[in-house]
Amino acid sequence: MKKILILLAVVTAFTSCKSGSKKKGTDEKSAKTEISLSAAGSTFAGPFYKTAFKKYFDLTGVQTSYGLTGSGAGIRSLKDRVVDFCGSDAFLSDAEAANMPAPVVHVATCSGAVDIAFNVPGIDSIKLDQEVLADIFLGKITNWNDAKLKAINPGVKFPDLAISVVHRSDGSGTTFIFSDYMSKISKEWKDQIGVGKSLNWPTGMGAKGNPGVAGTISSTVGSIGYIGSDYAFAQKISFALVKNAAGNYIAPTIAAVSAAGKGDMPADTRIMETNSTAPDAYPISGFTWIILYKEQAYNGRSLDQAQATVKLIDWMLDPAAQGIAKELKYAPLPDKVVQIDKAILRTVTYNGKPILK
Amino acid sequence: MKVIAIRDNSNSRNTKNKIFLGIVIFFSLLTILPIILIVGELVVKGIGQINLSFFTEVAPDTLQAMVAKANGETIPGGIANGITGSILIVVLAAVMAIPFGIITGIYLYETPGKRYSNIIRDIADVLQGVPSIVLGLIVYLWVVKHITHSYSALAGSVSLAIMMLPLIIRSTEETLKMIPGTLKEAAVALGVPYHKIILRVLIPSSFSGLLTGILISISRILGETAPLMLTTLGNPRINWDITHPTSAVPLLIWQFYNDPNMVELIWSSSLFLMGFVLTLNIISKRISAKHSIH
Repeated sequence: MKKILILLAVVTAFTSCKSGSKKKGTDEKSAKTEISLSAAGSTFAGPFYKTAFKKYFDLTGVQTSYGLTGSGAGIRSLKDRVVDFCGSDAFLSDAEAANMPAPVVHVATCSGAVDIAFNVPGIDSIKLDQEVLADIFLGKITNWNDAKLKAINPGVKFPDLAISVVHRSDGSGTTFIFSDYMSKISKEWKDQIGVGKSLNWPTGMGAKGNPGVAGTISSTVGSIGYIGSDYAFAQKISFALVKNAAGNYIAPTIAAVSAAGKGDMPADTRIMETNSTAPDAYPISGFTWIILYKEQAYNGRSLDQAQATVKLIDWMLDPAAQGIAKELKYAPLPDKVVQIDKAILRTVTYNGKPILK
Repeated sequence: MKVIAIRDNSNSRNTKNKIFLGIVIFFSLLTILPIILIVGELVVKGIGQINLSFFTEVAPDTLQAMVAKANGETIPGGIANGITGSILIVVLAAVMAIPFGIITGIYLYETPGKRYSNIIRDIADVLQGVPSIVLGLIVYLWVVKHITHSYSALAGSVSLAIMMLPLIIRSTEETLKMIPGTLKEAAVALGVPYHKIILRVLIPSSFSGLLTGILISISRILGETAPLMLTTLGNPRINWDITHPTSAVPLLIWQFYNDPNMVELIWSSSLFLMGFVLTLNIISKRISAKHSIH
């Protein structure tokens, strides 16, 4: 018994010493390491956010953990108030926003393209117009040597090969952008399938996440599907040129996605930029947003925490962070959208007082 | 007639015996084939990324990985944030689960056939069957939402501790059952108080069995991803604060899978995790072989 007591005393002494010295250490560089933020959501914008947050840590010492949970789960976490902000590829509808415990604001951070990726041996590039695209994903065109496909692709020798459509099996912002576009170009799609994060597909096979769809397409001959453009770039999968509203066939380049984002922007940034009327715009483009509460004083959060959150998001709009987006093949925000975003951030408050001057 | 036939066929019985032996060996090899293939594939694909920085640096960001890949270099950085996070979460889980598990196991051993011990045993068995993702959801509601108000290492370790509990309880009970009853009787005959019988006789003589149970339960939870995704979120830096989001090796593997530029790191991280779990398993086998009750 005595031995145990002595042992206990030694252990307590040791641990108290240790924690004491630790405290000293953090005091010395308190401003640098004290604040840490957490966020969750969009996998589509994940690579951009993770890279940008790491750069921000090097600059300021504010550490941000970002979990790749998907847009839907990210919004759920924000609703439960267990994260400082969330990332989402689909904005909250008025009904969804009313369902949140407090008013939220959306800040657009960058935009990206949804590529129509395909795998046909010997063919690097094809053109798709609205009708053919809809017919393929509705299951009406089932073979690569279909007359309609040949008609808009003169010179391309299509093999006699069945088309296998690949789509997302999980709820996804990428699906939301894609189906939003399809509903705009095809009445049949709008009536039968509609817009959503997960859909009732008339044809094809499902795969989990952008990596799943990209993997299925590269391993299935004759397949076609939609993926976030960074996946098509990184894995060198062929993508189609899509006919836009102005009648031009456009590749999903950064410039073409930027062009799609240059249209009118409402004051709350909640807009889908699909099927843009700009002549050089890629039609299946979408913004991705950071969503946070308008009033930051909740759940006992400190002013420092709230300030760090807003300053981080403000920095995401700066040229430095937008440059990172561009390097990772996302389209940076047009200046006009940055101004709208900054105006929105200035409305974020702590106990009713604006955080940014 | 029959008897004669068997006598005449003693040679064919030998051949039959050999055929069946062959079949048994063939199927046994078939069973261990997957593990050999898995380890082989992991080593071939993962060994190229393993170097010193793999253990000392945190996970790279997409840009670093992309630049390195474009220049044909190996991806910089490592999984230090995952390794330290895994250690933090698993040690916390062990601290929570081991005392409860062992004390409950002792209770089950000491009161066999009693109503409460039967109920507890059944509950432990049911607990073992609860899918890990469900535990993640429940702990999200309990700890993440109401205690830490943030994704945290603590929440992750609570969900893992609940997974460990039934394993430790049952292994403790089974180990204690193997101790000869005479050992306890001898202690009782000498007038040793009951708590001292447990502390000085039962636990020391079943120590190896208890340790094996603990090591097996740890290697069981080390690779769990689903409950951690819902509770610890991940962290790009090394974190020792249990109320903050923390990374873990399985979470990092999931993160690498979601980033097209970092797929190479999946293999090396998986190789590390597999190696770690295998080592723990081998250690526990060694211990139970060395210290088995004589």
